[in-house]
Amino acid sequence: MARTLTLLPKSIASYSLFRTRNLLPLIGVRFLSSPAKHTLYSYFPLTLPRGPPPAGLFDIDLKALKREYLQAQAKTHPDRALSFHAESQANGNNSAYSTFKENLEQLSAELNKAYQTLISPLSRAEYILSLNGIDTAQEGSKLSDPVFLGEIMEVHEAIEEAQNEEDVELLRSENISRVNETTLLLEKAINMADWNNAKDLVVKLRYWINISNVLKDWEPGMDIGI
Amino acid sequence: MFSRIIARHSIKSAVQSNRARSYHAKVLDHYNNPRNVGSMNKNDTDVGTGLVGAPACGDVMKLQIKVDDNGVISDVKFKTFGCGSAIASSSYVTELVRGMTLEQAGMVKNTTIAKELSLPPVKLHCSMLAEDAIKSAILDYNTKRKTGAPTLGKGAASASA
Repeated sequence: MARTLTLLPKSIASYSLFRTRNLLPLIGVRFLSSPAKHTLYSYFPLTLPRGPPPAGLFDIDLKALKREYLQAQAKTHPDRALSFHAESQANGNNSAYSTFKENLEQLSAELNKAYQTLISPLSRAEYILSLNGIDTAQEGSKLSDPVFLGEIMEVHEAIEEAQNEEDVELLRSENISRVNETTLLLEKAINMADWNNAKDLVVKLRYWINISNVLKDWEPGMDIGI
Repeated sequence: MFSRIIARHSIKSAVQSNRARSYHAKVLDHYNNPRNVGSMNKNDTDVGTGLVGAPACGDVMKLQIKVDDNGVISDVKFKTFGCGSAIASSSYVTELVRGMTLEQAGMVKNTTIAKELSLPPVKLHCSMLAEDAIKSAILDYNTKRKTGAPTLGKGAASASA
């Protein structure tokens, strides 16, 4: 089963800024004096003016975020950015157009990464924790909470035993409640900057979302594991 | 020995070049024909249960050992929900530790599993999970023995269950 980890290294935003910071005004982003203060939230100043928690809130307006994202992406189109290039050349910045275009693509990729990371509560939480130096997907880290693992095992076994779409629909609705419940607890923990608790909840949410994905793909007689 | 490693690598790269993401033949073999799948009664005193998870990917693995009066692992069962490498790692470990003493099984290293299955670096955690599973099953068995029935044997097991 393919799994994409959306965890970003702490430095990614500030790292790529070396190449694209001159372009930030193009999408209405003000470059902060300290690159360390630049986060993925900085790409969406209208929707997320307060930045990541605990300054801002964990819950975000996804509709507004999408609108701002699409508008910013449109501005990175080379045709639309031409005048910006001409302007910056007039201001003495004589970077070649090819470099400019490359940096536009880079900016577009950064916007995409920022948006994709922030729309899902799980990857958003992973990112916020990474900003606070906590790696929730550390290679080789262990989970040995027998009660929780026992519950996961039981749910997987129930999916294995499911006979028809009706059984699965029941399991789906049960799991949606678990995902929602865990997300709410995670939101609370993050807004309170309770990182330790948030870390545990991220791991739990990851397990429940895995189960959601298995349930989504369910077909009679499918092989879901052992 | 050296030539065998090279041969393995060439098989692996040949397989990988065919498809963007694929598993080594030995992983596929264990994945398609997993050995010793199932469960034992975790309340039996001659059974040790290891239940472990990999938080990085959301895998869960249960490995159970049955230990005879001589401290030898007589039977092993597993259940794993996770990727192909996690399933193959646990399947292989069940074959590996059957017939071992608890002491021998406790010394099984993830590198042995990773090498046998030619796991790529990104899948090494699957072999670590299998190592943890056997260790945690042994711990569970030993803990049960200390706190559980004072005498060995099946009679004592069913009396305390």
